[in-house]
Amino acid sequence: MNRIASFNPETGPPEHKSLGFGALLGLLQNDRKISILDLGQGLGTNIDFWSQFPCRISIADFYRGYQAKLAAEPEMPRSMAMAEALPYDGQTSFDVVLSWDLFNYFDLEELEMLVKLLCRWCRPGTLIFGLISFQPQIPNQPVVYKILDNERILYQMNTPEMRPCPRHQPRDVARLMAQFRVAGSFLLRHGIQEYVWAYK
Amino acid sequence: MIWKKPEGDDAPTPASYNPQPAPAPVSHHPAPARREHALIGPSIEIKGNLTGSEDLSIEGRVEGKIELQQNSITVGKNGRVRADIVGRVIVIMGEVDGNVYGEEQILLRQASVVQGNLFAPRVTLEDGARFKGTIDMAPRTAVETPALHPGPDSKPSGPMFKSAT
Repeated sequence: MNRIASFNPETGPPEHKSLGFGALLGLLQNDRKISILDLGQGLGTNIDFWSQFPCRISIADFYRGYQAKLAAEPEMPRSMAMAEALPYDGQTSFDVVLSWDLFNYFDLEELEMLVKLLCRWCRPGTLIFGLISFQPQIPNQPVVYKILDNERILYQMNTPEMRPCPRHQPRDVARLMAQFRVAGSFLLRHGIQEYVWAYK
Repeated sequence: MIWKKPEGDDAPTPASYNPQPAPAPVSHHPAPARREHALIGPSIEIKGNLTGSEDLSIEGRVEGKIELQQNSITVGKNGRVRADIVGRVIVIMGEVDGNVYGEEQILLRQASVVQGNLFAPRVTLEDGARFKGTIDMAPRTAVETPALHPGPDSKPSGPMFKSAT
């Protein structure tokens, strides 16, 4: 059963227990200020959540930024559009990258470009939190994830339209993330696998 | 009688005027200081640096730098700012492209569009606010603040968040 597709807007957005997010928090060092890159949209709820930690959080709103670049300049190479949507310099590094479900919205070639780009700002121990869907369909645009607490996340869809899910295979994901080790992996009941990757 | 009160004139006459000022009532609660408030209207466009010591609302366009360190700054729904902003409490309802430094708080209201870095002990994003950049919630003492009087080379921040750590 496709739970996301059958989500009833009248009953409110579905809330999920996230084992992966809890694992991510358990791996964070609390003895210093952490630097977070959120590839999703800026949400007050999430900013409030992170404000309990000494942190600096960068909101990339990557998917919309990348799509806007390609729409404005269709001839632009995709790697360049990605780089322009993530304009951080070589001095920057992050402790945590929240990629949410973005990996479901790119083919493997694009994902390689994205991961290569992200590696520029990783240092040993940098954690990436990502969700890979095994459902036949996913919402037409990335889901907005609201952090409720250490283990609960609210899924909020921006559109009722659906699209086919690429259903990236574990072997492809492992090859893609070769510079990372899997620090946590949890298959949730609604067909989504949560990953916490740690940069080697 | 030298004074003749014209009809309809309520000015005090010597007879009714009391030159001895009545003693002010003793109060243990000082009256709140009146806060001056300036408005840049929707048809106004300013290029350059804005400084001062009163609260400011912006409904027009500003390009340059805004420094009202002890005061509140509100960028209204029609406000379009391409500038770094320094203030005590900063509320944004319109569009801002630049770094924002709040002594106490920065509030991005619904439908605001902000691109730049935010520095304040408290940052609030309402649902519907669109933000791209970096938020540093360290207290002001730990935050690098912009020079009060920048040199001639200083300019509004164009490309944002070049260094996040």
